[in-house]
Amino acid sequence: MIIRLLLPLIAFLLLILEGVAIDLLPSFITSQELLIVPHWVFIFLLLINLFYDTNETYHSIAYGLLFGLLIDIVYTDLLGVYMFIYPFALYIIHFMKRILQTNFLMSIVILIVSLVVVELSIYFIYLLTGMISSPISFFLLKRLLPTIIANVLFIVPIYVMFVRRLNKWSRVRFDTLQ
Amino acid sequence: MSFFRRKSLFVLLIGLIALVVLIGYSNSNRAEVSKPEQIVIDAVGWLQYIAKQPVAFIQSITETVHDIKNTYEENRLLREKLAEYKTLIYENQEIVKENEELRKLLEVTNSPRDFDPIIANVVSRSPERWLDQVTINRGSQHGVKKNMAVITADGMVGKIQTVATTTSTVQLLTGFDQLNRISATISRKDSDNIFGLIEGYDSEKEALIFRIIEQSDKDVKKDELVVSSNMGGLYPSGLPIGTIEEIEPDQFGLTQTAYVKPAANIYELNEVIVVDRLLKTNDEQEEAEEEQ
Repeated sequence: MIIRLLLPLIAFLLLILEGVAIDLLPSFITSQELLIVPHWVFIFLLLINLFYDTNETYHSIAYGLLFGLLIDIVYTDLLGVYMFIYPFALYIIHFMKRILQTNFLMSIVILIVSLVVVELSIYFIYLLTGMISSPISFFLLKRLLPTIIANVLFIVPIYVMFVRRLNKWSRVRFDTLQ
Repeated sequence: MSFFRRKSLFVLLIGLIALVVLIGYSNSNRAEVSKPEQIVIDAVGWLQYIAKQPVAFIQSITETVHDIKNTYEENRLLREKLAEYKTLIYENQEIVKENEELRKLLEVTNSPRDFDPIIANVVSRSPERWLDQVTINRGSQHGVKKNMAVITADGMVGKIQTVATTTSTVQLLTGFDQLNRISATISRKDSDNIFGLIEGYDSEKEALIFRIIEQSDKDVKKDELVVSSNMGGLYPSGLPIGTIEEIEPDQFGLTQTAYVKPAANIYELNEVIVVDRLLKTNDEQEEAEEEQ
């Protein structure tokens, strides 16, 4: 019962912290035209997907819907974008997981692949709706690359903190059902 | 290939339809966000305000250290300026008095320059960096309305995008596009002012694009101050926007485009002022009359 509340609570906390994340970076990084986007909620959902969900459960995707919608409301005013893209990427990961092993290096590879998917989809949706007009070279160099580096750095502490716990919670939650 | 099972495709299609519907809904120029959205924004904004406090504390410490380093140099400069200002203050007082008397004679109450300041704190910056939005802790309860200008002590930083009860989001100047232009002017002492529109932000030049609509042989010089003008009807006149950095004739040679460096530091925002214009436009007056 506690776990059911704990997972969304942690995700919600990360959602709030995303809002002050850019203020934490030193100003010589933020004042350049580098667009570093913290995808902390997504990283946490990815770990839930890899280490908490079994092959038959879809909790991370449900959380992806909920927190994608919250991000849309709170941070972007354009509803539906994150709400569609986060579950979509998590859904792909769900199938990648069956083929691949889940260890530390593999989760970094999966993170990089899924961030490319997420960022590309966000770029194209915003381009189509006319919110932005940046050329794709600008997007690749100034946004995609720094974002991936920053988020790979961020997955390390989250991985260390949560993987064992997620595995344990998963066993508690799903083994008792059978 | 289980991914291409019919069920998956079905879910994906429903998702795509939902995406298009939701984008269409939120892109439909709605006057204000819906009530459930406002509640979520308010609730998260309140928690963001709490999360921001330790961050702001650390920021203020690093700023203080930085300030102490420059104290000697700054002190010298400030003393020189202070001597200049003493005479300016006296002149200013006389002019203000004269202006008030003249206005009374003409029976004009509010000038386009006057505004009510609403002081607000920045609680978060949107992680979606394409959009350049920040959230502030003042909302409709405190009199904030959509499209109000937002300034810092140095100059204009943006305008109000959405308003909830106790928080609202600000669209920063760097995220401006063709849809939210600012009418601006370069004030001249001896001749007519130069008018134009701020039409967006050039991310390569890191400067605002200022299109001068009035064809004139008056040359715009570097480092001239660009301020907002009353012509657009949205913002009070006289808010500093930035200084001219570069001037370019456009491709047909009919108008000139100047690149304006924003006066305020948009990347380090803590306290901002929401500008409530005192002089109402015709539309707003009509609305108020209808309500009565």
